[in-house]
Amino acid sequence: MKSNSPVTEDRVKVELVAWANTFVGGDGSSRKVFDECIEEDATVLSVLKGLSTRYKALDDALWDRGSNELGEHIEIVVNDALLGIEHNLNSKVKNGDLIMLMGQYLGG
Amino acid sequence: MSNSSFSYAGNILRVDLSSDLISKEEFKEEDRRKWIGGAGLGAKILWEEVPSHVNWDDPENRLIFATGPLAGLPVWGTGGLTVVTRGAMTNGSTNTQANGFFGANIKYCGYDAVIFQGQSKDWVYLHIHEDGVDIKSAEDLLGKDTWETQETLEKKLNLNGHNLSVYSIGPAGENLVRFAAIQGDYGHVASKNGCGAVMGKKKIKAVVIERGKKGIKVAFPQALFACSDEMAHSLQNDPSTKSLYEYGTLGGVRNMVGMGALPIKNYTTNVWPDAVDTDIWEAKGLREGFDHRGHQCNSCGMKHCHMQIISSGPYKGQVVDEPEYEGWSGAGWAIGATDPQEVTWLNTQLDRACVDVNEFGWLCGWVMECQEKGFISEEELGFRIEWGDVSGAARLLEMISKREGFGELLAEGVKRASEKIGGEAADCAIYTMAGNSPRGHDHRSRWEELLDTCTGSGGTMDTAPPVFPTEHGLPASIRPQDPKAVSKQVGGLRGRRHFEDSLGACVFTTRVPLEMLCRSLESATGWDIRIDEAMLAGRRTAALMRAFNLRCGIGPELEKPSKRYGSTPIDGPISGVSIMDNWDEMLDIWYETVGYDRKTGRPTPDTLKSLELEEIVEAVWNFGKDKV
Repeated sequence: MKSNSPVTEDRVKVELVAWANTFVGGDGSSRKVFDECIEEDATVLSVLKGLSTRYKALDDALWDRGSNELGEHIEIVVNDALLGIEHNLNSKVKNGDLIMLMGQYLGG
Repeated sequence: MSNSSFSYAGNILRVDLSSDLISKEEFKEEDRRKWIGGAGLGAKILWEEVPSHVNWDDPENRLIFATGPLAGLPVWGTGGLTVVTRGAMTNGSTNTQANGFFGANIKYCGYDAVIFQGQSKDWVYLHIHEDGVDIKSAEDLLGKDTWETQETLEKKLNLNGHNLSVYSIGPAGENLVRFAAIQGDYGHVASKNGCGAVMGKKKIKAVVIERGKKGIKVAFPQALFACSDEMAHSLQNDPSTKSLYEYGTLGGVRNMVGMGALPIKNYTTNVWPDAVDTDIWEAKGLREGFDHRGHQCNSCGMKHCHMQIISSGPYKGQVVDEPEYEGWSGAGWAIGATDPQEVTWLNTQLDRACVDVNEFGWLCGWVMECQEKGFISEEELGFRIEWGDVSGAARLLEMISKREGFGELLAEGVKRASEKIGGEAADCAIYTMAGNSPRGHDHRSRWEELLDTCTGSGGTMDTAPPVFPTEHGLPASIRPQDPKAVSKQVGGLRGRRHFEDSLGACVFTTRVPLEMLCRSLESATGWDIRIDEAMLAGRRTAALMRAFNLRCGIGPELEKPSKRYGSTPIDGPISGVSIMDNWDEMLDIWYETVGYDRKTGRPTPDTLKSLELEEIVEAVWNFGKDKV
């Protein structure tokens, strides 16, 4: 996702938990944390797009066929609340926010 | 290309326990395509043979063990067993699955299903082998748990491993515990709606099936191998199933807690304690915390089912089965137990006694909370039990299984027990008003599953979680707390699970695109079946099970959660968000989507006709007029 907005000093953490970290080269346990520089008008969407463009496996898993809509494989939590409670994909993020990605639940 | 012999054994075994009469019936070709097998076949038999006055404990109730057209074929996870009956928890229809080797072995003996009717005078087990079927005395098996039963029968018949499939009940089933399950092949459980109590009422201790040598013909063998490879590739590589392939459902705990969906201490919190080592609760941590060996089902290449040895603590050295996610939640988090070594032990004790791990979790967690809050005294229960007390939980299991002391009341399940105690204790219990046992999640964070559990007809969820929803014109992802989107999704996917449950395959290995499953079925049967027909078959089964429940008096007035089950989380990722504010709207949308009448709950005449169920329209719309 290209943007002309100026990059700020602000940062957002993106944490991929357990199985979800295999999409960014992890071994499926513990977590991988990325400290992402954000632009002035950064949103949850732009932060995640910024990360997923660097990791094809994450891009395939996170988005519905390359769109800006979420696919069915990963759940997102922003600042300890499920996406949709206090934030949506277009919500602005601010310095110190935490976006957590985890694999969708798979059954019994 | 279609031939009546392709992919089916072609026979249904009927066992009348009152008269000891065993007979064989044809599974007619026209019924096969309409009902497929498993859940579909079972629903048809239940509807036709169990009238409304025949309750779950009536000898004339039917207990159906069925498999389907993919069972016994070289497709992963095809040892599938579906149990259908009028169950003890809801006194309505039951649709519950297990795997192992049942489905393959019974087809290799020449049968697609067994129907039990009547009631034996003495305890018996059924022995199915290639040369015949025998009803044998089970007096020497009485009191044995399910693993002991299997071990005894293996020695008696000098067979083990995949050469002998044994599905049995333990003490809980013998004593008609209302949430008794049927356990088989060391760790596989048909657990829902008290099907084990029905088996106990009929005095069937076990069903034992040797691996026969009768072949199963398929229409297009090379195409079937290609489909099987494609399904395996999908399971190994698709982002949604890679974890399932590597670790089964072990990843559930870590994912659930992040979403606020791990049921911690009877829904009293959605945040796990600071002291917990989160790494050991990840899939890799749980697998590597034990010395383990693969314990795969028929024809399966998933790294899913395992046996393991407890490596530390009071149960060190014992061999247990690796719990599914729901074992970790029901025998663990729901009761505040946080040591995997202890939880895995308790999970196996539940399997051995043969109770539903979900219902036990809700029941035991309720007792623990009630004691903490003073609603159930130490004197009433007979001892003190606190959160996380695994040995206390095992003591509770023993009391329940034998219906001893306070266990007599608890053996009725948490709905009936809490209603009996009443007062504030009743407000703490997790159940649906119809009696369905919720699966092992905190559904207050998973609205699709809460809605599905309350509207389900088979004893628990009917549909969720979603699998490749875009195949059905639904969004790939929805906001889990969007009432409209959730209701449309649950209604729109209704039928897929019923179709899967009719195939004789595992619910985990069928997590592939539906068109892939259809091609496998086409290769096996020669039918030119596509997604639309598969969904039609599944929706037909769902509608018939619902019609059965309505005939039994289980109507839409019972489609809601208990007070605690529908309560508002006080902490965690969905703190303060309540499903009940949206409940009526969600039901409105769900009813419209599935084509059922909102007021009466009945599938509309148009819906029934579209499902090729014209023959039951009059019966369904004349309930209460003594027409059925």
